[in-house]
Amino acid sequence: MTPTPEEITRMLIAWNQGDERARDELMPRIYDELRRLARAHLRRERASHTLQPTALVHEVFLRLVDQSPVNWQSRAHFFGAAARLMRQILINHAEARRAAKRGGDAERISLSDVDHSTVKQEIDLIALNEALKKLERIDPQQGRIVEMRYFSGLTIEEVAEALGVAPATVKREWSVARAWLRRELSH
Amino acid sequence: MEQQIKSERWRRVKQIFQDAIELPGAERDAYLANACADDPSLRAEIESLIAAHEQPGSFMDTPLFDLAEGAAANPLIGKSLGRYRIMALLGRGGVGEVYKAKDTVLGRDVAIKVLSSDFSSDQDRLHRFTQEARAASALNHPNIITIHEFGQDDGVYFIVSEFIEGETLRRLIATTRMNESAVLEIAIQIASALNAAHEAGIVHRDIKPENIMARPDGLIKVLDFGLAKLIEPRPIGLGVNDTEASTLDWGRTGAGVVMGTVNYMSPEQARGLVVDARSDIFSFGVALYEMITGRSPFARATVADSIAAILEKEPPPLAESTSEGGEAMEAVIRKALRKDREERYQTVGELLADLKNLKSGEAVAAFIPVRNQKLPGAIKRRWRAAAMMLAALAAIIAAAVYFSESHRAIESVAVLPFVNADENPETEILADGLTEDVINSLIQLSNLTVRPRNAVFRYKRRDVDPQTAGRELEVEAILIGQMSRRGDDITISLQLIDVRENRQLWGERYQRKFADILRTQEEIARKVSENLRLRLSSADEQQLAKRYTDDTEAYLAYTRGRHLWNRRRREDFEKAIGYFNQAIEKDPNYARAYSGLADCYIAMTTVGVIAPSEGFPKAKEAAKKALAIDNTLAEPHTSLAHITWLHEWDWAGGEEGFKRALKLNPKYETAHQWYATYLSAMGRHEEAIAAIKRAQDLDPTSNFIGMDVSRTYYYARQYHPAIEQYLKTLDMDPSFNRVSDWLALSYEQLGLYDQSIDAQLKAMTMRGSKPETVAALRAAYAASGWKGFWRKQLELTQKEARERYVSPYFIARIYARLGERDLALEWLQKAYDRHSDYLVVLNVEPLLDPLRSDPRFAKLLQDISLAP
Repeated sequence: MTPTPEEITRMLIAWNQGDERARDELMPRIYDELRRLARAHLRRERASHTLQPTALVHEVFLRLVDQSPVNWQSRAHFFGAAARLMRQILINHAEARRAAKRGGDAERISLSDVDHSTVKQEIDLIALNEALKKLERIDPQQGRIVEMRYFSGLTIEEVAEALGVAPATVKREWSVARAWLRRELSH
Repeated sequence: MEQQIKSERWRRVKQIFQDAIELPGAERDAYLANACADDPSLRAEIESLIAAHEQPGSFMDTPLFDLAEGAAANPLIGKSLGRYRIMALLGRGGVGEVYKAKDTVLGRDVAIKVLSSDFSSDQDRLHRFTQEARAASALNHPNIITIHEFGQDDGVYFIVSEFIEGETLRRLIATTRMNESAVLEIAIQIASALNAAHEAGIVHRDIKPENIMARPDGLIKVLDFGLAKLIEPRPIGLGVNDTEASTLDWGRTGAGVVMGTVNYMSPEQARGLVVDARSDIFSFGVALYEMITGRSPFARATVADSIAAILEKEPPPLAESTSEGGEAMEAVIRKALRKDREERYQTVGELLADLKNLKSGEAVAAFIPVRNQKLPGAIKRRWRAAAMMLAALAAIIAAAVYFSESHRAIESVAVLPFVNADENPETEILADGLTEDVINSLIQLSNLTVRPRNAVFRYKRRDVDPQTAGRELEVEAILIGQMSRRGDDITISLQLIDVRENRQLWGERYQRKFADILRTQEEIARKVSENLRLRLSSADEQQLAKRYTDDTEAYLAYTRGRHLWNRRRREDFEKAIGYFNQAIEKDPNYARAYSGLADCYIAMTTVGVIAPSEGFPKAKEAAKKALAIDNTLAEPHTSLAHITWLHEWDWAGGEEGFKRALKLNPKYETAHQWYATYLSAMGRHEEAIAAIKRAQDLDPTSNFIGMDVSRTYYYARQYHPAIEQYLKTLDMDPSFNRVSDWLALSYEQLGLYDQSIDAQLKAMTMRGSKPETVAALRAAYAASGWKGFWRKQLELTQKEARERYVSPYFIARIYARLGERDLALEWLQKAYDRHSDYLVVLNVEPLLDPLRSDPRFAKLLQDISLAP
């Protein structure tokens, strides 16, 4: 049975208060919704192939969660969890596209908006993901920070809340992780 | 083992890297040489990381999301503008981006249009635009979007409006095929909006399907009045000089903006002439054409060609692209699309009339056979006749639906305080009392939302028009009245206004004898409910017919008592009790008067005027008497329930009482509020938050409820929302200091001691503490920190306790802060001995956490049956 927004909200609040069971119940639901939306989005945008991951996460959040009783900590938890799922979806998609191209170049997802972007940025998501996996083996917490900052657009404070550590810690760890990944990708 | 070495090394890498990047270049080398003296490979690793760190502008700097939004787009999502939290991007328009946002104060969804800096940097233009948009927002028409606010936050200008769930007409045209009657449903609403605006002297200038929203319930909203002034291009044709338009230029706005709008331009707009209301008629005609045919009459491959078509070409006959739209519709559209504005409909009112004629199947004024057109063939004509009959039939059905829709019952009403037309203060009390009684009668009705007394009494003596009040109170109807009294004669005039359409639903003047005031009040409540077209259940009928006393003098005394009680001032409670007693003396069966007594005693106890052991038993006695007379009153049930748990520590009994009260009157906000404090103490935080929010929904203006929202969050250990709510409450009434206690406690839990102390001292000052006391506390904090402050506070509180009743619980809490476990427990025991009602929060108070492991604490919990 599909849980209602009220139930989802209750689970989210329970999780925020330390109930890990609630988290386990919540994840598949977020994942389904994210994947559904991401698919629709990718279909719609097939030509230009523009993805707005955080916008998607926001959309899922708005769809699933009854906003009024949710505080910002719960919100941070939601976005923290969604970051991992979003990453999964993006990478799966990129890998599927690569396979379809019969061994062509690694998928590059253009992350620019036609109207406004002045610089067209192209990111090799698969390479980034490989590097991130490597980083996670060395430092799992840094992996989570990168996920949340980069795939879900959380602020330092929000990441701190989602991980239960001080903002100063997040800031320091993020600068190391960023430098490490840059170095890894420039090889 | 290997893993351990690796992670140890990584820890060192991180540490040294983090330290190094904080240092200026020159010191960094020395630092690295020293830190990695024993390990050159470590140094190489760190240096390569630093090099990567210093690489300019890499992709990692912006989240994936921001890139997606485009480099020029602002990363606003998740941020706040003023009191609005930005949730999602809804779209982009000519002047900026539109976001969905949450109003954190009122808890509702809003749409925010953020003006791009191009527009907001020109103060003059901004000023003209806000002026016009403000004028438009004052129109308050159901088909015009409601503007809530023009805001500015750190140089960002934004417009806050209602959030409309629905889709744009653009999308509707693209996704659905509309028949003529569906088009008319929409067109009539757009025309009504334009009509209202034009009558107020406001021209939209940018009517197009993107600026029109359709809600799922069929209601149409026209957006962006006045916005066009920001993007209107400089004259482009053989321009007659237009002072207004020429202040804008092409260069700044960019051709892209105009691209989107050119298809709906009127010929005079395209020529750069001064535009008037008739320009909107043309643009509307284009939209109408597009709704019927699905295509735009003048769209061509290039902007220049489109403009040429607007200036010279007649729109292709409807029949070229659709079988929808009869000859009459065609005639209406053509008349709206005349190149020469003198030949068009001269006012949108005329156009509206014709649209209504179309809908009802009557002849339209625009209907003149067009000579230049080929007559359609006979077959087509016959088909058309059939189609027209079908359309007319559909229109009749739609009209019937529409008619019943517009006359549906009103579901929410606010009674504004009746104005005292005399100078006599006695009449004022009477007018207030009558207002309150009408509210109380209406509030009982099952299908009606009535704003409670506290919400509407803000409007007392405020000269406010019903529309504004209606919008602020979020109701569909407003009852206003005035009252005067001469000797034994009273005159009451009343008006019930539908604020959605600004029309009077009912008005009446009553001239009565004073002795008849009770019957008059009943009559008014009944008339109002009738005129709101409520369908009354038999329970409702009973409620309306119910009279609590037949004695006019008892009623008057009761009204005076309520009047004083509502002021909630310490010095007034005693007097209020006197009046309630007087009422009881006149009518010993006056249940409401007993209920008033109970409320007074509870309030006096909770604000600390009398000790719990005195106040609560008196309140209980009064509540019981009220119930003995009338067991269906929610108020005394609520009072009794509150005493049952708060004073008698009968947890199950208290809850049962609240549930009974809420069953009798689910709209009694105090029952929800006090039930929330109960749930909170029981550790049922989610339920508590839900209950207090419900109370707040019922009375969004109450400071006391606002304070309890903060309190509920505090006990739920959600300190951020507690603080947020505090700020909201303070926003509504800056002089309300009681909520500061919960602010101070929340800051304390977050470790924000400076803020906590500021809040406490501010509250003390507002409560009338001596400046030297406040100064002494501040000095203690400055000299010896947090604990020093509390040692001083302890000293002062103990001194105060010798003079008046101070709950020992407060002293226990101070000892807990100071880490004095034994003393803290000793004082908690004293609180128990004196039966302090604060002990009910023993299980949830964060400050007592350090004591929880102590067996004495467990014993205490057992004694008041709170042990888990």
